[in-house]
Amino acid sequence: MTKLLAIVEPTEDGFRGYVPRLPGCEVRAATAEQAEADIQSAARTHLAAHKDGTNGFHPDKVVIVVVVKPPPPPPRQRGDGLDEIYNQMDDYFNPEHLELLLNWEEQQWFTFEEVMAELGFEATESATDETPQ
Amino acid sequence: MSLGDNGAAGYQLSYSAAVVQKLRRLRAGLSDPDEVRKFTAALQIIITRLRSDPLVFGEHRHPLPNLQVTVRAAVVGRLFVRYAVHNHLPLVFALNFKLLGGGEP
Repeated sequence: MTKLLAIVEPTEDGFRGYVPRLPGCEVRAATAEQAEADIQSAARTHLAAHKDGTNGFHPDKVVIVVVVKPPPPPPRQRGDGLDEIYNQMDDYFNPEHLELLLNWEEQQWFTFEEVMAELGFEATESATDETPQ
Repeated sequence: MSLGDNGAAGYQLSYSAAVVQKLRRLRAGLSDPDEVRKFTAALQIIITRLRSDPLVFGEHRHPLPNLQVTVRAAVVGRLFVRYAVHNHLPLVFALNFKLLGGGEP
């Protein structure tokens, strides 16, 4: 079974649910729970209407996984010199990352050794004595 | 899927093709040998920590319960990493690397 990502995110007046890989499959609801249920149903209907599959998805071979967009983490305020870095660098909710994690068993992943070889580094276990921040 | 035993560390660390490509771009954008050395050192520290104690290393950002992972982030030197730790399996997914202060071509 292929897992299909559905996202529920807050809007100004409620919640919006959508399936990134099923263009046009979208719902609006007053609560996150209702949007979760509605997008599950809408995605099933959408897939069923396209018996030959939509974007390669076949209705009988899909599990829909709904991810509710979490509220953004509060701004980091530790005063250790890293606050600005964390607050600016962390793209906290990235659907591309969610897609990767959703079907991680089916993705091509690279090992440590493969990455080091790819970058032209020697794959050693030893870390330097620089202190992590 | 290509998942080796990934060494003797406690967690299996995996990188998507996009992450590998990103690391390659970051590395290619460095011309100063000292910067390359620092980048390599930071990357090795990150990799070592992600494979040994990813839940101690870095900082909690947010959970994704339906995906059974927790997203965390860490900074070493000029290298920022965002990663996900599986809630039940000893798996770590490197999601993104960024170089502080630019450096990306």
